[in-house]
Amino acid sequence: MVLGLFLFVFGTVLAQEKNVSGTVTDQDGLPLPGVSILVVGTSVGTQTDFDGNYSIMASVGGTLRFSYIGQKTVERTVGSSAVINVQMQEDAQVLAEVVLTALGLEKKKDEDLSSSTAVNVDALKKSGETGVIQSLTGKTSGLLITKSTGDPGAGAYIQIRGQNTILGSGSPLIILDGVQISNTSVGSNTAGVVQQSRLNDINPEDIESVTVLKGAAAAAVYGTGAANGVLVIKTKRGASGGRKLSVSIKSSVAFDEVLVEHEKQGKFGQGYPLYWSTGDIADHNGIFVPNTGFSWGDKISERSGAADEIDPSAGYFEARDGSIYNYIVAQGKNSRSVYNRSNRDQIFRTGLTLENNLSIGFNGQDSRSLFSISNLDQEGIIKGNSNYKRFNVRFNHEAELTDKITLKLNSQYSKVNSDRIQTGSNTSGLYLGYLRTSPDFDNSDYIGTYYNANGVATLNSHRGYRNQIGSSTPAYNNPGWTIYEQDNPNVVERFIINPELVWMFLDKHSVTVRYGIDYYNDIRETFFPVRSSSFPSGSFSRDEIKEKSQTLNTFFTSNWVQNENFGFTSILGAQLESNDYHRLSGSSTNFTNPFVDDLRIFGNAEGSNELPSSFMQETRKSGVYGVLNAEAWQQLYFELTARYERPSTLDKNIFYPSAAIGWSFSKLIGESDILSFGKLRASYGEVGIEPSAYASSTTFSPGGLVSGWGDGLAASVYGNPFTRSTTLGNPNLKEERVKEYEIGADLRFFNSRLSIGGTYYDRVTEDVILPIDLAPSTGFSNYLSNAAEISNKGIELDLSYKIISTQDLSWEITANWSKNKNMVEDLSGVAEYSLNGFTGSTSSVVEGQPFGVIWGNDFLRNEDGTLQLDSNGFPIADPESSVLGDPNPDWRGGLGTTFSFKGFNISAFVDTSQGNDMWTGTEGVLKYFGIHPETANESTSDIPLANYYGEVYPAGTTFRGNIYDFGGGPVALDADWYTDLGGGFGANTSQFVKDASWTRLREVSLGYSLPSKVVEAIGFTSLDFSLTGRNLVLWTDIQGTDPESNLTGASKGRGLDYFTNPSTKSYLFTVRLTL
Amino acid sequence: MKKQFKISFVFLAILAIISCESYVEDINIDPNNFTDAPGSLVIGQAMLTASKISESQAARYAGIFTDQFSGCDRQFISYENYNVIAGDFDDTWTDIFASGIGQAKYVQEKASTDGDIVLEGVAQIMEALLTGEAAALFGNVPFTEAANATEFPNPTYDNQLQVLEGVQQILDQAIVKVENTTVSNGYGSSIYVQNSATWREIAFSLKARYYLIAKEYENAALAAANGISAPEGDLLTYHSATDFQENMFWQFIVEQRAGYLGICNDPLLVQLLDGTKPRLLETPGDSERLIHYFDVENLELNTNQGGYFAIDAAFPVVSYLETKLIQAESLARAGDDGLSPFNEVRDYLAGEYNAEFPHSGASGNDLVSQIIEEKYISLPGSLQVFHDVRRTNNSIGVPIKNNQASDIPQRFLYPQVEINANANYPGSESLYTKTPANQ
Repeated sequence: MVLGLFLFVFGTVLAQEKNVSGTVTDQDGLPLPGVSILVVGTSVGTQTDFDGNYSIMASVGGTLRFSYIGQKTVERTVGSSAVINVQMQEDAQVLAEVVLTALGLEKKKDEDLSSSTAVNVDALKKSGETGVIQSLTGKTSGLLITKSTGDPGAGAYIQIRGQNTILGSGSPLIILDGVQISNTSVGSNTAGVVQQSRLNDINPEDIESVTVLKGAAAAAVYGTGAANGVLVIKTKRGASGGRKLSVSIKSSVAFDEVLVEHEKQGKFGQGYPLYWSTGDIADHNGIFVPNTGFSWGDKISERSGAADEIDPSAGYFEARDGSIYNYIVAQGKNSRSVYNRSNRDQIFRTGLTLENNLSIGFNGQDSRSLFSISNLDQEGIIKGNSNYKRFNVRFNHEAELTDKITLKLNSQYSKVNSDRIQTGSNTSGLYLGYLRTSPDFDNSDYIGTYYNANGVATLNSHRGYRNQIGSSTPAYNNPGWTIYEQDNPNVVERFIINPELVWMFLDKHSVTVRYGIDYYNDIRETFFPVRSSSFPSGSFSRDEIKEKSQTLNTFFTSNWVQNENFGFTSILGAQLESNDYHRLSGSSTNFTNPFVDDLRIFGNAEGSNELPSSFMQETRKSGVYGVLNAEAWQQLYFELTARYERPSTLDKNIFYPSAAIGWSFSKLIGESDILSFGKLRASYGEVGIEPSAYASSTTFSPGGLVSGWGDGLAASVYGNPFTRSTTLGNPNLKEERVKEYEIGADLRFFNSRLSIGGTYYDRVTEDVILPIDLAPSTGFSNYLSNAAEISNKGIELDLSYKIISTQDLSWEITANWSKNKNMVEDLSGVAEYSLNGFTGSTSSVVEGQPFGVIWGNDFLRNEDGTLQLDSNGFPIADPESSVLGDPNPDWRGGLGTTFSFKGFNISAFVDTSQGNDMWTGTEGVLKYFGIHPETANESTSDIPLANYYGEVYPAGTTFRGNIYDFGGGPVALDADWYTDLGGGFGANTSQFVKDASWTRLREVSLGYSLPSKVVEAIGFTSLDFSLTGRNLVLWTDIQGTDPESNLTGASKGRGLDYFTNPSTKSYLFTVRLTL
Repeated sequence: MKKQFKISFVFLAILAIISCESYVEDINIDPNNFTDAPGSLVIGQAMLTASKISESQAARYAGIFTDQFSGCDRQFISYENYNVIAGDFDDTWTDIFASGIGQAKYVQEKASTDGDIVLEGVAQIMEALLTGEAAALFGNVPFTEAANATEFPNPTYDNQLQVLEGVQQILDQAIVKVENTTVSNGYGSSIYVQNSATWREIAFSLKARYYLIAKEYENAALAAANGISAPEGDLLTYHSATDFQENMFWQFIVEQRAGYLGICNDPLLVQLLDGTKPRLLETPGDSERLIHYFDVENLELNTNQGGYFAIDAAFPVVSYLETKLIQAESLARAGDDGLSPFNEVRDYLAGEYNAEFPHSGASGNDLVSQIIEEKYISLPGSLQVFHDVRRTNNSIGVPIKNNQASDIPQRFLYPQVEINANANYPGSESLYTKTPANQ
């Protein structure tokens, strides 16, 4: 104050231009590079260099304005001193409001013209998820992330706004430190193992910030490839808290439990109604039948409890521990034991995850570095071969070579070792064998020796409920066999290295050259020992996947005009990208030597059963782009982006324009106590999706013909003739083009305590590529064509309110809400295109319907919607397929709160998805087999009741099943109904398509930071403890499974459940120590 | 100096960007699939298509419509009542055009470029056979605009008789090209039974077949005279017990759909063979034929070892028997000597079955009727029988199995795939509308 007065007095006297210099530091006294310094009222401006130094010509008495993202703007009047040093203060309000642009550059949220959202990194770490993507779940509107299952390392499905493409990639572009990296998830089908997403290879601890670019305009510099939005991730460097060196150690332990389980009935045993053999409905009670798949047998509690009747001539099974199992004959089971509990405990355990992380940050004189190393070791909730081990090393370095040139290097290595469990529609899958097992069958001994009646031994025999003495391979795996004998190891090694050079070659012009290489090697093995249900003679396969993505990106950043009223900057750049994908696979089935034990080799089968295959794909892209930014009177903002590019998959160049405008109207009307900040924004952008590689040519492959009835002539036995594919290559394919406009507002009220952001978007993908039928008289059956159109319209709202914000006490509430209306506008006459699933229950694309609708068979209905009934009063399956449900939610929302008092910190987060449907295929099949609790009900009617086949239960009969009225009077739903139309293998799908809306307590966390005095006394900088619970409560009408899980993994096929491995809930304890 | 360095660096950076236009070129070449294949490798696919048309679903419909067999279970019960829909013929149509004619035309282009005249001729024979069957089964079909997707994405349909005329021209061209090449030495060794069949004789037999269908009997007789001259000249699809090399009737009946196709409704062919319905020409040897064709005890087609539909029973695409019977009928209709070729057939059958197949002494219409009946019996499961019954206005008296219908089916329905995707689709025809040749 005194100094100011002094300057004022003398400044006016000595008004003249002079060179002012100084150093700008942050609140910790560390130099701040890149601070903008402007002589107020002129166009003279400069920036601090890497050491925070600056020099500028200014008149005495003039005012210098120092501004920097995240810091409170400082103004100083030029006085007699030639040195003005400034210490800036962090602006807590603004700090969180920095977003990364598509090029990875920081930008004030208040000046951003898009709906881009920065996700709070602390919240990510608190989430307790092992993968980066999963931890983003629910954190911002418009971003849908769902984990396929609870398997360790399971991949996640990411969708920003809505689906835009049928055949193209549906995943957003991932930009890590300015260069794109791969997030491929190879292989997501109705069977096999759950695959990982490659984004999980990044250590979440290394991340400094994540920005989600939802709109097309924000992503436009990437053109083709950016149609599904962009996740921009920046990793850390330097010491935290402005010190020279910081060492932080994080250790956590997490316990995982099964989130929801399918309930199994424990009343009736293996078998089926006697009347199935006698044909007389009076024999409707079940009998024990060995080895049948059904659990429609006798009532376990009514058995005698005497010894079981056995047939010694069938041989016997000797388990490894010496237990003997004899062949129990039909109707000969007398034991009253029920094994549902022990069979369940055979497969589930409490999962355990240990994570240790060490980060060393270092600030040198002209450099900032980060070294981190982390190790994660997760044992899944399924016993046996289910685990995920990840090791990461990162070294980031940034050095100022001269005061104009900065060199950066980000590098990481990760290694992932995991072992997965077979899942889904798979007779060797875990849930299929486990859930179908009859309640009266003990699964505990699954491997041993079978002796036939002559005493001949068969080693390594497999015992399961479909073959009680292991005399041959059971139809379904014993779950013990699935988790202990089968093996699906996977090893991934990955390197990401990206050097970057920034050179300020003129005062306000700099050039940035970035190179990035992302290379990984993914080796997968699948081993089914001899006598696995799906491969009774054994199978071994190995896949070696290599993917290499390289990017070279060069851009010029120019700051043309910068004064109080007007600013104009430009970025002009060029980018080369290449992607190389190689997959080499081999399989060996029907082992010659069945006892391979741990030796997994090719060559252990006849030549015809050794199948090698390979797949290669190379794509490249070259593009130039420009971004022009203009700013007027600190309240009007304009941005124009253009990209001109050529992908290798197309024969032409493509141009993508986009434009955005924004107005900070609060600057004009003046900030008041109520309105702290207000901005309106609007943008239009175009981005695209390229056709898949090699779609332009027609291919040739071995021919042969098979009729729809199964009879055929194989090429291999007829001299291996080739056939020209009946899919005609289309050299005229063009890109799928997303056109989107969005309008939005960002508002803050009450001294910025309440922030509200809202966006409405309307996007359409034109020329979506789809296989279109050709008249076969053309010599072809179909060709790929730009034939479809998909639209997405929606609203996204984000809100946060700081209810209390004092030094010691703070309480904040955040909320987000989004609604996306997705529509397949045009399919050029194609009735339905299946994305994934089974015949009769697929997730499909249908014209005039949302993307991915559940497609299958309804019941025949009258015009008024009531069921058409047969003469027995039962419904009739519609032979034609129709749309049965929509797996997309009507709306989604999240509500979170954080409360801090001194060192304590409590937070909770609830999210919800409403109106999404799911096909509960597991439930249907459990009804078929008589395992579902509904099938164990017993009913008595006072009137005669017909069953599905027209057999009539006389009045007063108690039968196993339910009484139901389809509209034609009560009928008996018994084994005949559930094993036919009323079960999962029947011709009707619609009865198993259900509203799968859910709400969950996604996470709740309690943290405590020791007071700094205490911590410093023992030599540390900080010491924090936290306890996090994840997925603790789930509210949903879906039974037995988490409606968020998905059979077909991270693929575009959604809303399908069929013996999918279960989801988890977790308890996580973390200690963070900073030296 | 420093400034120059700066300028040159920036200049170089810009240059590096611009000079990379060639960066993306020549990358989009499929490394996983062949985008080209020699004609000699593709011809086999057209041949397999001809075999499949001869003995798979098309032949099963024909067998049911002509009451050689009965449809006994599931969908085949509907077919027994002629309840078929457009979609039921998608398979047959797609096979003929996309797997057959399209490939055969491709082979012709490649062979012509390579100067492989014989291969070009063989491919023409395949194209002619498949086109001829398409016209015979469906009536008007795409021909001049068929299998040329880039020029004609929506092929128009040509009149059946013009198509059949075009088939004759293709065969004439082929005959010049194939000369006396045997099938075994002429690209057919891995698909057909190795015998003394020549492509020239086969082409003439096919000419005879499609002249007959067009009711050009004089031409048919002339062509048949140059057609397959002995049983060793038959074009027979080779079958064995190897997977997917089995006889396709066997595959359907034994492996895939047991009980669907049989003789549950005592079809006409059985009645003629077992004497329930007397033959026009008394044939004691039919009792031997009956047990060769049918497993009478089990009401099945005879898929047992040695049976007509056995796992390894070769199946004719075009045969000596057919050729001789065409020759006999054509000559008889012209009042010429149809009796000699007919009695040649009878002698051949007597030898085959080691049983009595007495000569005929008939003449005029009686002779024609005897020949048509003999052909009906001699070619079980053949599409030619379906063509004959329609051409002769059901003179043989095949029972009409649908009591609402006044005739047996007169064609295959145009397929759903064509209705859906061809802008020049001419509109559907009823199952009972005669094709132009039979009007």
